[in-house]
Amino acid sequence: METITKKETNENEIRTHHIAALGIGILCVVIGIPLWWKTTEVYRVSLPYSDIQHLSDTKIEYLIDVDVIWATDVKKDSLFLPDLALNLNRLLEVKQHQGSTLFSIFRVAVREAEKSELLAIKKSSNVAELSGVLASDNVNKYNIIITQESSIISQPVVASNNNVFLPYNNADTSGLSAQIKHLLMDIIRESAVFKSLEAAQGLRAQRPDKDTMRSFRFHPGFDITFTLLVPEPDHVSVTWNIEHGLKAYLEPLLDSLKGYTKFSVASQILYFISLGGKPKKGDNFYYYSEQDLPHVINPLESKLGSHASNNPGLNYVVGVPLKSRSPLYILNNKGERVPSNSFISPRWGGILIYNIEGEGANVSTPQTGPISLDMHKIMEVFVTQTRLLLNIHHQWMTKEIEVLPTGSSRLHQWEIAGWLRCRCVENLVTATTTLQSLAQLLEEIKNIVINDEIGKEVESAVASIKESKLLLRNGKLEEAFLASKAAVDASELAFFHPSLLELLYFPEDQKFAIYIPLFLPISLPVLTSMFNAIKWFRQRRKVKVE
Amino acid sequence: MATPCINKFSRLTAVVFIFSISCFQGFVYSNSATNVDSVEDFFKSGHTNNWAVLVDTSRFWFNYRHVANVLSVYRSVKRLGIPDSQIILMVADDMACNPRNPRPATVFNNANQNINVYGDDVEVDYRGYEVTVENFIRVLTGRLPPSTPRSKRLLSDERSNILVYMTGHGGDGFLKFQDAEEVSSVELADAFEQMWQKQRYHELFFMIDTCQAESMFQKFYSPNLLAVASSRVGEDSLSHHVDPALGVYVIDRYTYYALEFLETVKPGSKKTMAQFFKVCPKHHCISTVSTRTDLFKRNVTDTLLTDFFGGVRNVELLTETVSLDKIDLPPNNDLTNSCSKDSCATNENTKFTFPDQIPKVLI
Amino acid sequence: MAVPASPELPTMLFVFIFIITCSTSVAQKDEFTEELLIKPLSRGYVYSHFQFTTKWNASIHDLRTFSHYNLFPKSLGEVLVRYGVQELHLSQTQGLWRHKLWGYPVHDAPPGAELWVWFKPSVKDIDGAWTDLVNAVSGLFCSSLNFLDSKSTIVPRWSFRPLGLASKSTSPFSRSVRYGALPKEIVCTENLTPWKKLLPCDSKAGLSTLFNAFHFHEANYHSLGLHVRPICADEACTQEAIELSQSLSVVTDVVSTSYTGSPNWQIRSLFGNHLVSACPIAAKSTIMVDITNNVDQSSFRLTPSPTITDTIKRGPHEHTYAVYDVRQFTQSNRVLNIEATFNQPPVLVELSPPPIHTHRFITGYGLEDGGISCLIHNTLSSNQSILYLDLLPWFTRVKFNTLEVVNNGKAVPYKVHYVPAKDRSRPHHLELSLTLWANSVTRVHFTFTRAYLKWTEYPPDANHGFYISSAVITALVPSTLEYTGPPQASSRLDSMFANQPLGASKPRFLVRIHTESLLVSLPTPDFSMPYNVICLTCTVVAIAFGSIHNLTTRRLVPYDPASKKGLLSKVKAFLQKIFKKSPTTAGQGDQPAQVNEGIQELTEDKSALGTDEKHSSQES
Repeated sequence: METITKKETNENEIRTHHIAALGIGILCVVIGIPLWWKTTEVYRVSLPYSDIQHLSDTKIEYLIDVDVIWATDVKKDSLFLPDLALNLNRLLEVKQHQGSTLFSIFRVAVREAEKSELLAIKKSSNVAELSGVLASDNVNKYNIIITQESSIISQPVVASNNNVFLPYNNADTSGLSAQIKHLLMDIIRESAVFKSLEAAQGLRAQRPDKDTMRSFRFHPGFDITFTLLVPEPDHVSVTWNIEHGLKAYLEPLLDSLKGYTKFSVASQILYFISLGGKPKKGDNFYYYSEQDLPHVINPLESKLGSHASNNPGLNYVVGVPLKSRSPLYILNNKGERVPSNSFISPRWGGILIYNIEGEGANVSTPQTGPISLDMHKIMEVFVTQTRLLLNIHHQWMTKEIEVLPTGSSRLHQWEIAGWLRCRCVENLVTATTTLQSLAQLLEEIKNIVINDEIGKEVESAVASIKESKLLLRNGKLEEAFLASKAAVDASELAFFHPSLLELLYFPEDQKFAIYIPLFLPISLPVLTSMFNAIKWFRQRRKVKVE
Repeated sequence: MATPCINKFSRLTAVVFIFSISCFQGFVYSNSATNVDSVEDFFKSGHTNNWAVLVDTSRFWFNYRHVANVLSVYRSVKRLGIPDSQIILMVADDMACNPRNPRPATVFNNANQNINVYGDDVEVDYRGYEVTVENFIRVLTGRLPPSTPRSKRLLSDERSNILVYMTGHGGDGFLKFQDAEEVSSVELADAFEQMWQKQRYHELFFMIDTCQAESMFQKFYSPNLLAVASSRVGEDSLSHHVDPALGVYVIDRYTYYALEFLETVKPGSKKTMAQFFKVCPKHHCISTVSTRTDLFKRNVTDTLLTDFFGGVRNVELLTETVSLDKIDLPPNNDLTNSCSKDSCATNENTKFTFPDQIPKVLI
Repeated sequence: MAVPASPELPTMLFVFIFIITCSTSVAQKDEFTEELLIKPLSRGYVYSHFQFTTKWNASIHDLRTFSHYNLFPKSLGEVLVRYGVQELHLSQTQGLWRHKLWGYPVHDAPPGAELWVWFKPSVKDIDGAWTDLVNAVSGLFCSSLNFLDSKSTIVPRWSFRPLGLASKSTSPFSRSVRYGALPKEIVCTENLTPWKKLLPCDSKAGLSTLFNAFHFHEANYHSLGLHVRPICADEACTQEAIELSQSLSVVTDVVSTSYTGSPNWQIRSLFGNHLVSACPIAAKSTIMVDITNNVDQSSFRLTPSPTITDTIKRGPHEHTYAVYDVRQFTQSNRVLNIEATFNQPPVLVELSPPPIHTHRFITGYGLEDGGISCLIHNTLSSNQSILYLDLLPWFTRVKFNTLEVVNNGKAVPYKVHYVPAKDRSRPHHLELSLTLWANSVTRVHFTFTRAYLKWTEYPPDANHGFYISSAVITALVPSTLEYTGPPQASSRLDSMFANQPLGASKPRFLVRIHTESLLVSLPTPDFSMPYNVICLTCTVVAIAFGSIHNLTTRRLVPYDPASKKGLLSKVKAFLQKIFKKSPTTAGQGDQPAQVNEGIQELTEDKSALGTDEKHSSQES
């Protein structure tokens, strides 16, 4: 009896101990682990990962409005125009670009010209006047006006707004629509749009394309710097009226892009700096061959940079050659003089070599004042280079086309439209890839903190991309572009957010080194006693059942 | 994202390989093999610009040699044509103007004092306390605070070839910064991956001179990386010789021989990376130079040294220009005297004077 | 590509005319001058001060100004306009200027780097603009000025007034000024390179060809200065202009660097080169040698003899300069190498101590408390009021109540502006306005406690100590003894020769001097300690936890050696058998030594009952 009570008290005591062990164990599991988890957890805002993943699957469709206006006196049967519309729609139907996610949609309307329009067209004495007949303030709408062949319109004429005049050559509907399609594809820069898509997708190892390698990717701001190099101010004094030059020649171009990207223009004169490299001597002149040109730029670099801005810079340099090295020309690989005497360095800018002597100034007798440079000549070169570097330059596939000059560097409306379209597609793809890279990185590297700001930027970028795509599909080109710009800004901000580095990675082995001194001595007894307790309780139940 | 890329690349390698054999003469990796029409010699290689990130991670006078290492490489890449604006130079301590330096404003990489590698137009972008792991990773990934000036940024793009050179004291899987913190090989690999993801490089050459240097690139996994290290895991990298006047070692062995090789290279040279990898055999270096080429898509025997050490600039001649109507200077255009309305107005309203140098209230 | 003055010119005369026409035509908008002042100091030291002044006739307040640059450097202009800077004063210095021995320099500068900036009144977020500005400036000059964060920046109340034009509406207590200093900043070649790039002639022609990093860094003191401020475009001050003043000062110890120990110096020995040209863009290119103490050639002779010798009277003192027109001397490919030959035996010039000079030092011992004392000497025979500014890092916790200003044992009345520090965000800022009695020494003293830093706040070389920047003393003194500073109207040295403004019967001259910077050591931990601390605390916690855990979950039972052993004890016995190689331990080894272990083992074992249970189950 006594032994039984002793055994029972013994049993009770053991039970209490086991319950205590279990209690401690459960306490550790219920409170300790969540506490540890919570305190070492990395703060991460949830990002719309699936949305981001889907962004690249959804297609980019751009809609273009086309009005074909029949403005001839030629009488056709009543079915001719509907037939033309049908033909055109068939030709221009939704088109996918080489298996990519880019689609073009044309919304074609064919109508007869109104009486007043016809009258106005007839009255116009030159093409410039003609283009004013049909106002087209919508950047994304093209008017194809089919007129009679006349003295002023003998070949397709592209006016500076989105009007194209096509002389009617009595073709049938299919021939005419083919002609229209051809013109359209050219004027909207269809191939360039696709190229910018490819370039932005980072298919970089595939084919370097001249245009994309040369031109800058879109950026919300550019710094344009004009630099005049005067290597020997003691021998040749040179000035330029850059204010006038910019105002007269470059500003129209920059104004055309106002609202889409910001340009800040500055100029400087540098003394005692000459073009680098060693020009070779020809007869009566010196020259750089094409291979020498890369070395011309480096010595200038250090004086051109800006410390205040982080925008990409377009550097335009006018170099006056040394007196002992002039005249100085650039020769191409065939040994011919390059007429502009200038060259471009991709994504950097351009250099123009300006020979003073070539301009008729006699240097050996001192001038009464410094020689003033011909800004017209200089700016013609740099306007061309700007167009190339910003990828505005239009290369016509169709021959025999007349483009009305704007007179100044102002851009044609269809140039702006083409540029916007390319940049919009490029931005959409850039933003998408940036977001996807970010998402992938964040998933790969679990320790990165994602704060609210990044979350906000990512969400706004995703929303902007969606909005831009929608707008583009509805033919609202400008709005779509602005939304895509916002998307790029937000996605870049998210990707390059400085806070993404605040928590540097902690190697696993060091984690062990820090956890083990505490966790090992505590967890071992807790776990073993818990294990024993569980075992004891099980055994006891078994015994009871037996 | 990464996997399809890699597939495309590996398919491309075959093309490139055949191409590079067929036109061995300098036409490196002209991916244009497929796109023959216009690109021709306008873009001779896949990159349009070169960048260099040169890092010395050691502080204190007795680590003079690490500063000499990094400055020697700086001098070489500058000589071969990378402009200062595209070199990020990080030097953890000032050796040139160190009070212990008997020849101020100079750093020599040789006891013969042939070349002052400090030069007189050196531009150090990160110096002293600024050389931290955090700043280094920030420079690589581009995650810098918005006000960081351009000279402290790596503004490379998807067409940039980048040289990353590091020197300092390291161990298996890490490199110490300033004796106070370290960058691990995993961090470095992740940083490169982030650069790749954001199209911040076209090809990247990683060069490291430290003990157990090989361990730093073993964790790399991003494409288009090429790496060389001065020593294997388990090996020490050794210094070359001592300058008795300074009382310290002036250069490390691997860098010494690498420079000896680089000195023979001129801009436009046809020396290849494969030749460079043979530099400093074991009887010179005592440690074993180790390379990693599996991530690199080109054949190193066809890769020019100047693709990484030189500054390539492509140029395009401008053959025709747009024609603009000539606009003459408007008469009486006195630009100097005109001021915008706002500024003139403020000028009139507020009279400017030289203020008292000590406020009146105090006298 | 350097283009030295070409020898192939037909006639130098033409060139000369040409240059003049060129420079006058340029002068409409910009004007650049280069000057060098050489002043022999006490004990054979020579002070050389290069002064490059660009005057741009445009308003700093007109934003359109900053788009077309000629002589003014674009990289700097962009920074100024972007951050709304009205005035910027930057100095980067190596070495300490010894006022007592050397008099006053043209621009006084503390060791290390110092930057103070007046922002335009239109700038709203000044702290933000300052942060961005220091980053931009650090990029521009390859310096670490980006360390000038809120922890080391103050808003001086009295000491730093605008040096240039300022609108009257600017309140004297404007908040748009910021001051910061980095006493530890190293100045080396990489700082000189970008600095000289701002010069229109770079270092290709003119006085800047004398720049030689090796000679500068071997000198006892050298200082790079850059000051931008708005000034009057003309005497009537009807229009504003922007003045960029770049200065480089070097003090060379001629006696100890020459092999013979002679005090003779020449341009060649000072800078390693002679002068071959003047900067053709410069309107004026002159070298001035201060011969105030050598008018009678009692000490040394100058060759070649100067273009003119000019004497000016500033305040009560007269200064005499030998002026060389560089352009005249470097005509027709001649070189200019001004040489000072001392009479035998050499009589070295001795300067008299200037009106105000200081000495500042740390007091106290140990790593807990300390004090800072600054002795301010006034050698004038009149009372002199001064401003004293001190900026201390937050980790030297100033005890403001210990502040005392004593002169000759008597407390001096003072006016004070004190902003206490906030840990890790704001430094101590102390400004005093006080009067120094004639011919006396005033002592400013206060004590501080050293704070502990966080582990990550220590720099890699924490044992070196932490620098405290120089105190700044500003005064308007009536004397120009050993005074070299230009008047306020222009930074050009030749403006000293301009007539003194009328009506100022008792002209006063601005003296701003910087004291020594200080080095304090803070208690520094052993940096390998964190891990030791982790291990130690963890062990303590583990032991405490373990014993409590054992007490609550285990019980002690007597050990019965006869009972069958558990698994663990079997293993142990096995191990013992192996290690001790004792034949007796094999089966029934019951040595007393083992009993002890046995008890311990039981407590750790799967509890006595566990074995009991096993026992029973095995039996059943």
